[in-house]
Amino acid sequence: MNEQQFENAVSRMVQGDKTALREIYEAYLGYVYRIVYEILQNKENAEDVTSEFFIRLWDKAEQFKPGGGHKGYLATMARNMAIDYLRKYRREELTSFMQDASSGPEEEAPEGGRFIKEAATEDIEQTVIQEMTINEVLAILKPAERQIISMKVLGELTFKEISQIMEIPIGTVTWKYQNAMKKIRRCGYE
Amino acid sequence: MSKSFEKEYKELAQSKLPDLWDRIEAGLSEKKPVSVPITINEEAINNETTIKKADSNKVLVFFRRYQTVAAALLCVIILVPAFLLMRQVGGGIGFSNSEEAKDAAPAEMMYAAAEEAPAEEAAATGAAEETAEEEIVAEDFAEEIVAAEENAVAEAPVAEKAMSDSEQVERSEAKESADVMLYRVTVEVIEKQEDSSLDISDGTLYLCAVIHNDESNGLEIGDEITVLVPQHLTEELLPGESYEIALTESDSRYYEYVVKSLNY
Repeated sequence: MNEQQFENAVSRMVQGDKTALREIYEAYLGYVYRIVYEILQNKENAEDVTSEFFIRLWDKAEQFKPGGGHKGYLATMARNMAIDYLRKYRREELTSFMQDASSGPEEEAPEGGRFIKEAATEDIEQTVIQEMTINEVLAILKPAERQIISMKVLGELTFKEISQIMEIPIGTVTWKYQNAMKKIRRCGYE
Repeated sequence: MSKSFEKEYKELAQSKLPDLWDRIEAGLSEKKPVSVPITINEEAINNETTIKKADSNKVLVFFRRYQTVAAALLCVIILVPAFLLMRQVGGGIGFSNSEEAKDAAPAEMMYAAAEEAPAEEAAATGAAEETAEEEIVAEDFAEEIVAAEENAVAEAPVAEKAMSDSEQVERSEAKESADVMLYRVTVEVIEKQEDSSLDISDGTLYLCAVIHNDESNGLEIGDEITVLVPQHLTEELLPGESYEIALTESDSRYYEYVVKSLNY
């Protein structure tokens, strides 16, 4: 769905056309659900927040301002709702999530790298790593890295847009993205 | 064997997605369809209101910016006609109440009238030659007025000097009045003088005696005077009769007085 199609759908939603919301739902359910899930890391919670997301999109359709990039708009809204959920029900996880999102290279926890580094040192483990599935690779990424990957790959957003959505410097975004891609490549992905 | 992360990640994102539509649809609130024309009208009204506000703001800004200029123009509009009116009625500030001002104002008006009136008439008739002639006449008239004013100014000291000599004035007035002075007396006709040698064709000569005189005109009762009764009086005086007559002195060498009226 391009910008014009999305804006037309929103206009129809303003007129009370539920089929327009259904079109957006079918086009962006995976994108939205992935962003929410990367933050919450819980299927049920992600489903609840994603459902609430589309209901709010319907209610706030009049407030949509065309021309700002609808994928960034959806990502921002989804991320904020997921963070609000953490703030409301899982405050301790919110603290670690926010610290991870804002941490730079010097504060990088060597958890994933150490796992890969240790694994790389051993041939057997090297073989196992090469055979990791996509879910297993995503599991070794940090929450902030997973968010960046989801917005970059699924939403095709620029680093600038991602930095604005996550409210962190663009340098931090690029560094986290490159760091995540290194981990992914070590798992046999290009 | 390398694997494409993006491809598998996108497939992962689109696979195993929960079906949330029923939950979502159940939570949707009903929206009243808003007709487009109403929306457009509201926007138009809003725009119109905004434009009106903007216009009124512009007008206010304009008046605030030029209020000093407007006040100055208002003062000029009021003061200039008032000044001109004062100048016409009271002689103006520069003339005060002097006699020169009283005299100068009509002279200026006459000069202006002499210049303007022919021009207006010429414009009405449209005759070029007449206009030229009238302009010449007007110019001459204006020059005469100016010359008269100059002469009046130049002769003023002489006139004042002459006026100061009261005796000369009285004498000239007495001389003028003597020419027309009437002697009202009562005379008795002594005789009609019919002397053919006298060249008298204007009337008839009579020798009379003054019998009554109330005025101090130099005639005394008993004086014998020769008077001429002009032909237009037609009456013939009878000897021995008395008449009240009005006389004037005469320069003729044949008679002394001329009768102006009888039985006045």
